[in-house]
Amino acid sequence: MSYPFSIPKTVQYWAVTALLASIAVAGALGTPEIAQRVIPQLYYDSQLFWTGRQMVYAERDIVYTDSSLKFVQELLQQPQEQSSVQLQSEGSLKTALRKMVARKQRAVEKANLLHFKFERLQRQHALAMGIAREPQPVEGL
Amino acid sequence: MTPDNAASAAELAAGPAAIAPSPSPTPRWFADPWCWVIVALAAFLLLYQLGQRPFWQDEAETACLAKNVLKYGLPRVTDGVNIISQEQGREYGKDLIWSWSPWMQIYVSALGMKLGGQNTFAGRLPFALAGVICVLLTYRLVRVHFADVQWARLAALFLALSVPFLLFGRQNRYYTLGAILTILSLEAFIPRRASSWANVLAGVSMGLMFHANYLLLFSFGPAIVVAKCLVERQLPRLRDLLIMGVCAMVIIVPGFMMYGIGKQGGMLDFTKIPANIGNYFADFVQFMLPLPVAVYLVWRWRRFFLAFMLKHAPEDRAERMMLLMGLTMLGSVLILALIPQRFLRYLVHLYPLLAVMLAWLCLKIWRNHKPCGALLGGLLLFTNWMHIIPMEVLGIVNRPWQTDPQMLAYPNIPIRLLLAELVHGYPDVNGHIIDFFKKNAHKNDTILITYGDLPLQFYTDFKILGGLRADDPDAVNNPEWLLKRSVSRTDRDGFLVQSDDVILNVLNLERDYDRIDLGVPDDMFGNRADPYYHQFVPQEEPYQTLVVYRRKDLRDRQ
Repeated sequence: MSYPFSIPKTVQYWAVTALLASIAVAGALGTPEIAQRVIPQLYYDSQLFWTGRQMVYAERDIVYTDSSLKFVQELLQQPQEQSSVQLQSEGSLKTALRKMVARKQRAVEKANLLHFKFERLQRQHALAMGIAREPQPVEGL
Repeated sequence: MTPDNAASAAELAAGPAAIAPSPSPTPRWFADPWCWVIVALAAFLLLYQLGQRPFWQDEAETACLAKNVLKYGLPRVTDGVNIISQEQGREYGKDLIWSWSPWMQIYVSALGMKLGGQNTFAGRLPFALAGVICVLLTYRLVRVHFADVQWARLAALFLALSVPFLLFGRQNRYYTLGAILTILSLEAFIPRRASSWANVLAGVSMGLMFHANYLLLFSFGPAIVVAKCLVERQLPRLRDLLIMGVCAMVIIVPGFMMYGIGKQGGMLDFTKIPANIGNYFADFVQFMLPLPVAVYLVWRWRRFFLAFMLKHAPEDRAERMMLLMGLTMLGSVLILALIPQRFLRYLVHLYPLLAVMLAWLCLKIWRNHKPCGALLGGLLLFTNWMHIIPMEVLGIVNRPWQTDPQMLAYPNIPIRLLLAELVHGYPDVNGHIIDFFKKNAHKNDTILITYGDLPLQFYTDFKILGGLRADDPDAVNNPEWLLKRSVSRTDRDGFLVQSDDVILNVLNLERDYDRIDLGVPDDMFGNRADPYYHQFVPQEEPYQTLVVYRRKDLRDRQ
């Protein structure tokens, strides 16, 4: 394949150098120690936003697993309902129940650890900005 | 003309017959003082404070088995008090001999302990030394086969400063053994026509690779053979394959009788393949080959890929070998994606290949345009910005919820993080647990712990229950001590493991136990090397603390 024009090699190299330099700048501004000094507000806002979102998802996961658990427990207590959801054996329901117990427990623990992470970030943010800030409510909770 | 070009031109001029043994224009490759400076740097980074953090669960599994090797001569899963198991008893048969994974790392760890005593440093020492040897062999590989001293130095430096490689190298596990065997097996694949001794060496290396971890062999072996065929555009000589195969099989066959390979084969789950490919892709570009570099290489070799690999392999010998290494890594990842368990640790043996490739690329650019080459080299050697920033820009960065900004999944200066950990130390969760029980528990006490049972087994003499073991009737008999970790674990069926289930749902903690808050963070794993879990800097407050439960009747015990 031939091109009607070609970009000189030197220009290509300088273009790549510029790209690498932009990665270097973005990387420096994304590195925690540097970001905390240069752009603290932006850094903590971003961290709090993403951790807050993860926390919201984790809380939702608790709700989902809890309702699924209750549904399976109800089915176990009402055998006549099992045929309506095409379930033939009680064994498979008990298996589902055990799995759901595990999933709920892990969802609770994940949300708990994310709460700690969020609080930690809030504390670091308050210290970095020199403000005593009350813990902020997370959007969606 | 650069030395690699010179080698290539000489090769082409003389024709294929003359290429037979690879040229060795530098018989005294070890005379370069810079080589030893880099090796010394690697030795410092691999050996300094090696025993500071105690073994985490997987390392402790190897260490406990090594301890039993020293006692019984064989990797028995019990010392008469405790059982070593993380797979609910699948790891052994009626003879109580370990058959879940190959034994090489167990015996190597046992050797370290035989020489240095049963402690953390001695257990990890042989593997860390193997890491140092890897750096030396990487230098030698480039220097001897391509006669380019700058490339050899830079490749060794890339490996010596690769923090994921250093983290895995500082573990009491097989990772660096796999890397050494990978480098040695390349002796048969770098020359176009390998000599008989090179084929023997490759066969023996691959045979031993099986005993390091058979997943390494199953992924690396076929990948490099196919890659070689594609790059050289010819099938390998039957004689070469026979020599290699016979040497490998002589070493491998006994392993089929010793290890329960079929046990793990029964857990294959093909529905996980797409997710595995996605996750390996994320791991590969975030911690190994940066996405922009990978895209550039694909573009550079586009004629090779578009022509269905039958034509247009690079003529330059060095570049052809880089293509070989790239295809080998790609093939290895694709094969590993078939295995349900996905870990970056299965790719650690490819780090030397990666170091050679990155060094080649940086030098190639440096020789044409110094500012560009210097910037690329600096970014790749000292930061992970090339790995993370493009993924962030594209919105495909993989950061599991437990990651923290001071980990390798975020833009960082990895070597600085590692040095911070080595110099300032890290308050390890397993260390806190071990210290607490050594101080407070009595000789015949029983401890039920939900995770971290194997470090406790290694460092203490108590009876330890729980972890990821199979159901144990003693667990429900109100053991003297309980420790529920912050994260519950599930078995392969998705059920809570017995230890978590018993503490959460069977025992009455309020009635029978006193709660003791240790006031220290309950990290998930401890000194785990995987970048998504390795914490270099301790967490600040607030955090989930370690909580121990002591049976109430022990309150007044001295």
